[in-house]
Amino acid sequence: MNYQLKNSSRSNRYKRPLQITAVIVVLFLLLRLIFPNVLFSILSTVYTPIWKLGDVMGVNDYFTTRGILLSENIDLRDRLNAMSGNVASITLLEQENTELKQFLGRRVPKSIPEDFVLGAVLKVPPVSAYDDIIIDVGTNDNIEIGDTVFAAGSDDSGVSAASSSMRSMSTTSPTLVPIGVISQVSGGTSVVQLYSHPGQKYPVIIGPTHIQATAVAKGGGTFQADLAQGANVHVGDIVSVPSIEPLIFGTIGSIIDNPAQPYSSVLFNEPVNIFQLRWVEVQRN
Amino acid sequence: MKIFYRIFAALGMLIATAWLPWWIIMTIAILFLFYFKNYYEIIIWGIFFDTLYSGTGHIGLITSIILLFLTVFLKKRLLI
Repeated sequence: MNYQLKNSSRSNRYKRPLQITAVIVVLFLLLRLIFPNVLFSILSTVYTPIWKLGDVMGVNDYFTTRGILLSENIDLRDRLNAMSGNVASITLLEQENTELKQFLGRRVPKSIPEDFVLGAVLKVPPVSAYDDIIIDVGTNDNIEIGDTVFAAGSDDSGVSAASSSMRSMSTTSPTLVPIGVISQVSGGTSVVQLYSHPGQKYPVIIGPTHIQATAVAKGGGTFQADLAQGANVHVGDIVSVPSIEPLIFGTIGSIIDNPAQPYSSVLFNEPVNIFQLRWVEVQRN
Repeated sequence: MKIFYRIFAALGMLIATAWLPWWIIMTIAILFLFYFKNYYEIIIWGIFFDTLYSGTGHIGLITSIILLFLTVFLKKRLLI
């Protein structure tokens, strides 16, 4: 006579992990539902001193290989040399732009509006995995969800001094390149969701002929926009935000032409290297 | 004695989630999954990772659950 085993060991193997996993996930979801920001506040309070210690010790630098740094150095130097010749004419154009606006009665903004807060970057991609960065300002500095974040204009942000005045186009000193918005905030830290967060869409103006398009974020500081075949755009053309105060969104890095498709795909990057951000400016709404 | 190893592992994961890239964190977590019996802490670390580095994403949580069950399955096969 065969006796069936009452409890199969095979099914029991997964039962306990399943139960414990379910309990943890349910507790987490309940906590998130009832107290949405508590866990983030607690964790950011615990992790902030560790991040700052890591920053002081230069831990992040260990994960950038020498070869990458060397090629990036050469590339930045070449770009600097290419751009330095345009600085004088750009400055002249900025002055002319400001004078014309004043003549036409438009308000000319101050170089640093008072509602900006400087924040230090604690974590950048890819360490943070998502297309988010963590900064060291929060509700204590009157930062709220939805505030716009700009890359600060300094060499530390990876933007060369010669190119910063070209990118701003509306002010003569600091660079204000919009990079994202505040998505989570606690007392002393905030999470900035970058504009390049995959799936996000933005209206942009491309090239000297001001072609309107929708940019789709691809992650890692890159965007894609589809234009009609034969559109008058070239590699290096500027992509800007539709506004009276032109804000640079990026520069075209490559154009993909497929004769079988009725459109061309334009790929462009933010002018700021988000992987090397050190400082940002948060505009309080 | 094992409990002290788990405490040190927890401290190690705390430092790793603060300083190291996500792929190194995942590698360390997989090693701990095989070293410790019933390493359920990986789910907690997945939750912490998602909470810290993204407000809406759940990649860390989902990945940690998959890794946990994958380890349960493999440990029996490998007779660990």
